[in-house]
Amino acid sequence: MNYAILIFVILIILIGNYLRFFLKLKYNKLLLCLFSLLIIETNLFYFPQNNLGWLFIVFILTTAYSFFTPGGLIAATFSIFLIIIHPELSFSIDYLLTFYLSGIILGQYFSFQHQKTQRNIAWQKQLFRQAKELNILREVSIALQSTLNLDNLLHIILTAITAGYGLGFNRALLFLVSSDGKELEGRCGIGPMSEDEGFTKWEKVVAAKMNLKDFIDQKNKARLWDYHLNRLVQSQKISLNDDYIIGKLFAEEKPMIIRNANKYQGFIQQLSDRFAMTEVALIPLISSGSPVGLIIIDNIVNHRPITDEDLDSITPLANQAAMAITNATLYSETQEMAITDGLTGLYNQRFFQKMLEKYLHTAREKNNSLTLIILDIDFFKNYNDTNGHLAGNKALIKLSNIIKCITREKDMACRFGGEEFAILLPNTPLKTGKQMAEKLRMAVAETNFENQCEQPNGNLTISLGIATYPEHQRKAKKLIGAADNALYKAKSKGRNRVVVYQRKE
Amino acid sequence: MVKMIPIVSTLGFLLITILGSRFFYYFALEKAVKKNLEHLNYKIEDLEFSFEEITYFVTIPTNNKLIKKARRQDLYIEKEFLSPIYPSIVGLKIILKNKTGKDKLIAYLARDNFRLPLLDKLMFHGQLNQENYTKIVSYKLIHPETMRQVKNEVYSQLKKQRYT
Repeated sequence: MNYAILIFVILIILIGNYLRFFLKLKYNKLLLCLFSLLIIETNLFYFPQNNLGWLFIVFILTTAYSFFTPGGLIAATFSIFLIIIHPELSFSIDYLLTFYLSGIILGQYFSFQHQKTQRNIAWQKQLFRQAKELNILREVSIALQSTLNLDNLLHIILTAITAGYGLGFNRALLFLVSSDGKELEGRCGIGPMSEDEGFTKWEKVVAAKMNLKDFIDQKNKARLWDYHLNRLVQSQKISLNDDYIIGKLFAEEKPMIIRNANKYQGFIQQLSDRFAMTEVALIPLISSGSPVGLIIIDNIVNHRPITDEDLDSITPLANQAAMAITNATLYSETQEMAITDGLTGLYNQRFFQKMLEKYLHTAREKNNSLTLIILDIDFFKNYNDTNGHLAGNKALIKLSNIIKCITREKDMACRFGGEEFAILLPNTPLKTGKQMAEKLRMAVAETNFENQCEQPNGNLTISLGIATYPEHQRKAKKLIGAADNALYKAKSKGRNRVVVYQRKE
Repeated sequence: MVKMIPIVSTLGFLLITILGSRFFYYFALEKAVKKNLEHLNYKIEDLEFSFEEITYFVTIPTNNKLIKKARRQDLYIEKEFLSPIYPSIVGLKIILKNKTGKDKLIAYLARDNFRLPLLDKLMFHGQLNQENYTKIVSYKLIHPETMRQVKNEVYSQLKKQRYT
């Protein structure tokens, strides 16, 4: 019988512990406290002993753990009451003192421990956040250092901001300062246009278990996913001087959070209307004191408020990004300078020689034709001597503009020498090449150059020689030689004409 | 012996409550979550998650010999609970065993950061409340399959170059 009661009590404990976890926390606690009391009362009922009053300490302990000092005091009071009404227990002042002291001390102790735990959890959260940001900065630094291609850089920056592995914002747009420094031009963006789109993309990304490196590598896919966003971003332009918020942003060089974007005028209102933004963070990109661009961030999917701490997270990344963008732009400009002719803006001879080999290789692989036109200004020395070198330079610029207008996007025009130009026409048969050459010749002949009437022909003209791979020659040097030979023939036949290379039989 | 029964049963109450709470918590959580998901026409396997919120406390790649030589079985996961009697999962600690010294905390996955897109979507559409969201996330986090995948992921990160 006694052991049956013990088993019954243990069953109550097991059932009680099982059931309480189906309840909300406060009822869970209440139930545990009641069960602790039930066990004590069961013991007192079946095993009435005078010294069992001390079992109420367990009830006080449980209640103090669950409800801290108030719980401890209530449990102590209730325990005293129960001792008084139990006939087998005799009340003593020891119970009173012990129960109340236990209630208070245990309650205070458990309350202190609980607060300490809560504090530790909060500190832990802060620590983890900092650790994560450090990891992101480290990874992004390595990624940024791996490329000088501006497009790739922009993609890395936006990925770091929006990916879950990164800072985890829902959407980011990037604007760059235009070459004249007067406005910001929308360049690219990552993120959805609506909540539902956001959830769908997120599910796909999560199912694929993509990490930060995967996001960065999938630049082209990202562009496709965010096609509409990118199209909209690229249509945006913001004046650096006319918008108050933008002006303030770059004057103070500090990021800002804009809440209730729809209540603003100007650019912010545009963001609200076109991108459905309600709360945004604006982060200026500044390098060596000069504006480089602007990052705009919002949480269109989860609507998580953007905090000052978020700005602290983004700022180091933004600083790195500004530097990387400046370096990439400088590199691009230097590259451009290394391959272009400073006066005319066409490619230079060094680049031409390099590209000719590539174009020939492509023509061989694809089994199509490559046509080369070499042209030369007739009596250019005379023009220079008559009108001065400044006028000569202007004429060269004008001619190069005509070449740029008439040639197609796939064609490559370069300044070969002083007044000599070469044009590579890939995948172009001889007949088409000759037509283009004739078009160029006529355009130049019909253009009015300064004081051209002093030229021997009465106007400024050009002579052109054409050669084609594979009909005329198959090697680079020989192709140039052939076109040059044709040009020489054009000169000797009276100038202002197009001559096609003829093989000597 | 009979006189000891009240003391034994009271001590039994304390022991079972302290030592058994986590088991009962997991059991009740499993039942509640499965019922919830059934109501929403989903299974636990449908809840995809990513490893994006694992925070690492070591530099990767590393020169630390202990980490470089680590085997998969040297990693273990410790669940972090808020309280022994009212357990609520806080996160997972991924720890590396160290035979010659203290075990090293390698990474941590917090429950609050453990996001499941499907649940977020359901909550956004009003099909799930915060309380059930938390329960499902908690269950998914300490699910044996999740922990196995997390361990594998951490191990593969320790072995791979982080970015080339």
